[in-house]
Amino acid sequence: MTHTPPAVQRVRAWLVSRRELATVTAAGLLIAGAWGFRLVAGAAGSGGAHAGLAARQPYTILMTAAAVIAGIPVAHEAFTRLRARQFSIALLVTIAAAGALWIGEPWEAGAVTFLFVFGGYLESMTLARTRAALRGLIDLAPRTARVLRDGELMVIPAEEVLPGETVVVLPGDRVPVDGRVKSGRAALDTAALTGEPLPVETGPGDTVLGGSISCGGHLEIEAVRVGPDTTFSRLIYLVAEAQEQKPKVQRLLDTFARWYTPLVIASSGVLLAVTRDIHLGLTFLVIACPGALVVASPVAVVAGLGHAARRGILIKGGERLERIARVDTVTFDKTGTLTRGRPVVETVIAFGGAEDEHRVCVLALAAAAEQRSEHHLATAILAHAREHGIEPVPAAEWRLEPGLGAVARGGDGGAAGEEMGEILVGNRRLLAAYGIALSAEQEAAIAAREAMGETVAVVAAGGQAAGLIGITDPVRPGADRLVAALRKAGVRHTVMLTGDNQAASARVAGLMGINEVRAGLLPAEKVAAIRELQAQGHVVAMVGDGINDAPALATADVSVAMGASGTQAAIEAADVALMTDRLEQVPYAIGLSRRILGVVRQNVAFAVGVVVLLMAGVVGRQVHLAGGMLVHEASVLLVIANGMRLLGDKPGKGT
Amino acid sequence: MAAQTKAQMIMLRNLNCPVCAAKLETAARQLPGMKSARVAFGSGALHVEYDPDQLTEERIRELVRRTGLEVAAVMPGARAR
Repeated sequence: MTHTPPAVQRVRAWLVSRRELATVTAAGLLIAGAWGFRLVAGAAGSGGAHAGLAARQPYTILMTAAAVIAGIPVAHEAFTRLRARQFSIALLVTIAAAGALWIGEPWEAGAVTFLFVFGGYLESMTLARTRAALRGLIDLAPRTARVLRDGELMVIPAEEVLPGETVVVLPGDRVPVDGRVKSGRAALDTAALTGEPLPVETGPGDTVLGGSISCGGHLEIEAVRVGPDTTFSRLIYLVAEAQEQKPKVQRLLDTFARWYTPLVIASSGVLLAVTRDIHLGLTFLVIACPGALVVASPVAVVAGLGHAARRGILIKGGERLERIARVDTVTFDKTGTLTRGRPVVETVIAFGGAEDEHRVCVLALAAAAEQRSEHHLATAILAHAREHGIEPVPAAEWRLEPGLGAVARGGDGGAAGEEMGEILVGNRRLLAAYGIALSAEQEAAIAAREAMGETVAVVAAGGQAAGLIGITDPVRPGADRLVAALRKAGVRHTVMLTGDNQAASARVAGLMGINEVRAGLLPAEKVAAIRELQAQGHVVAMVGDGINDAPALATADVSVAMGASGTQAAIEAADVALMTDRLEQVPYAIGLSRRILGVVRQNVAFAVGVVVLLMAGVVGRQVHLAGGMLVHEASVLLVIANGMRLLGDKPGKGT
Repeated sequence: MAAQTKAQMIMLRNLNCPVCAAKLETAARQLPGMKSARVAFGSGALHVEYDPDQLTEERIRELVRRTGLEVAAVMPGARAR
């Protein structure tokens, strides 16, 4: 697919790409040379007027050459823009430089044009840097696919795979499509998509995303989404789109530049007419170029968004920054967002004794009773049992008591099962239904676990309570620091909106320090809750991952989708997509948005201040062309440096 | 809309001036079979939609080269929504 251009083309392209650098270097050297001549002549030429004059000639020639070399691309740009009926800054510079040469001030002409091309070069370097993030992503996009067609393995362009076809992935290959593993196992590096640093073990039935790299193993995948529909392609489109959108401040400046240039030209014309001082008119013209103002916003936005993207935070467009920065309330979905969404066994307590073997026994009993259940608590118990090397004993008889638990009768001659008789795993009501009483001590143990927010399954065998198993949906790593970090980012109110029960929700909220819990909500009630917060004057962000959160995400002022575990729909609709499931990205994204806007404001204020001061200085005849230009360009560099600061932004910084 | 459309996102190298971007956009729109062409300056990409019976990717690459730019990568384009 990729076509390598011939060598000639490469050389040409190289020259084109370096033309700016070549111009800047050549003009810079000529200017340096001219100053060198003048200094040497100044040192040697104290002897008389004649020597001074001789030295002046090479100086003038070199400086004029510099002005011409740097001026040609500027004039070219001014001309093409003018033809497109655009008044540009280049036009200001061209007129100013031509005027300076005409009145015999080659140094001013050289300085003006040199600084302009130098600024342009810096600007395109910044631009290249922001494009690099996107280019880096595209480089990771899969190009070819090994496809099984009519029993034959063939290599075709990745976008030509059809949904439903079988794709083979060998070690080192990039997975070309989103799909489901049909057979084989492999470790997949998904870092480009999720930021997850460790390879993920993948096997039959698992979903794989295009763009992952196989680190070893062999996979046969059924293609589900191909070409432009893969998660990876969409990610690229999102980044590309984000780079095109500009925040309000920046759009304002774009229109500003359009009327500013003619206004300045007209004012300098008036100034010239009134004072009859061509030098003053030209100086005014050059100084008025709003270089710093024009780059003030884009540099900051682009550096900030690019930096965020590299950390796995996609902020979809600069114009959302303003809204994100105003967020004062963050609402969270619980299951899958704050927690992992996969219950695990937290505690196992045996009433018979505190030794490990007692606990193992309780677990073995529970596993025997639950092995055929598909309840999510059963899954957690079975997984925990396997971790401890317990293979559940097959039960002879098994039934589910809906809403209560499971009951099994001892295994077929298996020693454990035979002795135990009837095994029960379930809640208190199950035990009551089977006439098994709990001692006060046992009741207290259960109540204690429940107070911790665990869901308790009581295990009984042979007509006696044997122990309990406490199950929780663990919170994601970093969740405990989330609220503090949000507060630091300026979020005063945190709310949990969940469909889960009050006790479990309150436990998670308490663990995390979340202000408010609204449990047992249906999707529509989540929407109502967000509307209510908005009606109170809050700017609300919603963090969620699933289809059931989609309405709430759409209602919130700012929507944040947990990308790695989230659904496509959520990622696409969201203002901010987190490519990793790390919660600390939420406060970071808010804080970063504030810092980006802060830098934009600093830059705009600074740039306006400098230009206004300089223009006043010119009219008051305090500022001259060369010095003014120097201050001017120094302000451009400061503004760029201030914006680039965001590239080194670290999490955990206050606003 | 029976005629088929191929959408591509062509990543460009050396797209340094907005003027070149506008030039390329205009030229691309004049290619026979081109349905839409848009140069995104910020991301440095040429988004095209064309009829693959009338126009080939090679011709678009050719145009890009003639404009003094270079093709860095070609991606399938986002499906029109």
